[in-house]
Amino acid sequence: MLELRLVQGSLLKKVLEAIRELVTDANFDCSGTGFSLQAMDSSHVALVALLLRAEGFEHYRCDRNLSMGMNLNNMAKMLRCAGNDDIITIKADDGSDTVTFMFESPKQDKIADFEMKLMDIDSEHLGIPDSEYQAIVRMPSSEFMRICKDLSSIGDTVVISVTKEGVKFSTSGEIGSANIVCRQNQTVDKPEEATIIEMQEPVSLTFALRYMNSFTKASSLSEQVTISLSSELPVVVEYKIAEMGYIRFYLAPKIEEDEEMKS
Amino acid sequence: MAAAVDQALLDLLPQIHALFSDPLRVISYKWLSRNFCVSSNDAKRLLQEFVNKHGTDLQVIYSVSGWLKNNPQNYCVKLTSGPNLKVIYGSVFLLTKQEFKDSCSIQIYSVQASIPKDTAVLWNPEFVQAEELFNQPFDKENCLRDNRFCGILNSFVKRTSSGKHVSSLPPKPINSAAAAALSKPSIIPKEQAQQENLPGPSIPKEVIGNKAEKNNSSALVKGSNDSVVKESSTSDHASKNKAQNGKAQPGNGGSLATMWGRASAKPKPPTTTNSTAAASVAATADAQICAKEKADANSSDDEQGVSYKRGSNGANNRKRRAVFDFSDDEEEENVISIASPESPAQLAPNPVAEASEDTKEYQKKLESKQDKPNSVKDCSKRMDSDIFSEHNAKSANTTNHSGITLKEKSTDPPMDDSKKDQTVAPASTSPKRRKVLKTRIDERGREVTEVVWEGEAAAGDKAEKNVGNADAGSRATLPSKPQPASNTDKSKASSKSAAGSKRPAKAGAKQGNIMSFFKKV
Repeated sequence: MLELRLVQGSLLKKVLEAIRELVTDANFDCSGTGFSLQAMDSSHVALVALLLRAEGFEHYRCDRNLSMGMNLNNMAKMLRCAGNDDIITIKADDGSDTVTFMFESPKQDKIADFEMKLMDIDSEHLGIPDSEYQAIVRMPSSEFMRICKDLSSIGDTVVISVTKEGVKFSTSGEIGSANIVCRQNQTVDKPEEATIIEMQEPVSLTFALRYMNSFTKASSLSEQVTISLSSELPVVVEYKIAEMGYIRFYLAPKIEEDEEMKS
Repeated sequence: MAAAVDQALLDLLPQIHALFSDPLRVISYKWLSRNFCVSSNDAKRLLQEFVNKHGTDLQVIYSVSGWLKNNPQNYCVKLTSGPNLKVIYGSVFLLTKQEFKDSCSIQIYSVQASIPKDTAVLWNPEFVQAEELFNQPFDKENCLRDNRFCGILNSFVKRTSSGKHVSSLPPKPINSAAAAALSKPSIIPKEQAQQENLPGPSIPKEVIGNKAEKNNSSALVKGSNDSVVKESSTSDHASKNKAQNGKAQPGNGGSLATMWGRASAKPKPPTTTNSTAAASVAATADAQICAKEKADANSSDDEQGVSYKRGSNGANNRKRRAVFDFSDDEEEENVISIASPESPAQLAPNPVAEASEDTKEYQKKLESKQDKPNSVKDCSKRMDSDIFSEHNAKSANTTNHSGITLKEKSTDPPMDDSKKDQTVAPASTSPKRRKVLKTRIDERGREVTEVVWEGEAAAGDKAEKNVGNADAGSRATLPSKPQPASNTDKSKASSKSAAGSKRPAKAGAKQGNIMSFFKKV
């Protein structure tokens, strides 16, 4: 028996809109600690990890661990039927092959039930170690979204370099090249507008902008985005979800061939 | 309530009674106000008086207004029939279960022989009245146009009504916001209607008019002295009306008409350009307002005020008149820019046609709006027409500059081109020059550096890479142009991240696989 009641139903809607472009089918894992998802995109270049902790739900009941395979586009379709202020309850019985989404309007004068068929998905669950990153950049998510969008109109890849100066996003394409430098900036009125760079050592990595752009779909979930970079690791683009968890995107960098040849 | 007012009002009671003998007639305070040229507040009092006298054999519809108890943010105005209200009278709440907070106002909205089944019957006479007033020739003064009964006071809007009339009537405080809310929209358009030949009794009007004339003959004289072009007759009317209504009208009550007059002063000229029916209605309304202002100014005792007023009004008039002379073609042009005022450069395939269609629709809307009984709509329509006119003004300016608005469009694409050129410039020039460094702060405050320069040596130097890139671009463009995305992707990545010394040959960054970083669990 599973019953999760999320008062801020719009969060779930936004989460779905943020990941459904990247991943089409995924297993949602429910345990006593929370509601989570880990899935790779079809080309195994990017990985999304979602966690909604049990404390974030108004009511959280999960008798035993449960993995529910869902088509995210179908799930998004159903969630789109929920109003932005609606309370969303996810219900599933043990052994059932369906999940029920219940939407209650804030005034409790309208209640809708949507039942969705589950699917069996072979998923490869990856262990993601906690690692130290050489550079961590925190910046307004809207700013990051804008940068990725702008750069993708010039080129296909972005080089993210973190130095003492700041973080530089650069690209080049047939029509020219572009560099955008964001400096550390903590002197802002609102903390969410700050750009904070914590750097152990300079790092520069190349990524496909296509993926970055789809990560930024999660910008509506959080005012700030955290970008963690290490030369040996995939970049982590993390959006915090108000006091209840996070959504993290991992993206493997592009690797220079001659380095590979050397090694 | 001043005794004088009362007396004058009470004189109307028999007439109301006569009206009431028609079993189908709904007498609402709005209608009454316009028909007898009294302020809406007085009209309400009159109705109250009438109900007090003949309360037994008539049905009353009250308007109850106040803050709701269960939803204190909502200021609510409700119409309700007498019996419903009486049930509640102790603690005011309606049969609709909405309970009002303690201080709510109850006023008579209308009296009639029987409660109509269809509420439209309530509005209908008012609407017909308003429409007639609105359709009057614009040189005729009526209370709908000058909005003299508006119960709303606005400190920003000074009503220059002639001193005498005002003095005879001390400004009345408006008791309840509800009254204001109700009376404002209703009165604005309708008041004008009053003078007109309504199905109702025309006698009282004349009587009043005569009275007023006597009282204010001096004002009249002044008014007639004013010979500003063709509207002298109008001004007579205006002052007459003023006189009529002086009593009922709060002295410094702000009138929307004056507000409109001012607002329209600047951008008005082209407004009236539109010869269509809708536009002409607006235009005539404006002209009336203007005339009214003039009349006000003329009849005012304050000499300074007069001269000042005259100046401004004269200007207004000139502008407005000029408007009338506009030809049809120009109107068309104006229309264009109205349709797309913000982005004239948009690449609409046939902007002229589209725009003109738009305006047609707009006009239709205007007309249809006119047909609606809702006076609020009327009000908004007039606002619309002003906005409309502003657009027109803008467009007029553009036409002045470029002769034809279309020209603007033709000039714009070049601008786009030049923009493109700018952006392209670094890339295209870079292969030749080999040394371009551009740093600028863009509008978002970011530092954007575009670098194409000759690297000296450092293998890993970014600059070098860029050179390589540029070279690659210029040399390899021809073959690589139509490449599929993945290919270009690769080549770009390579040119960017490959060691500088390496010529843009084939090297490319390979997309890493996430599985090579994390192990399966």
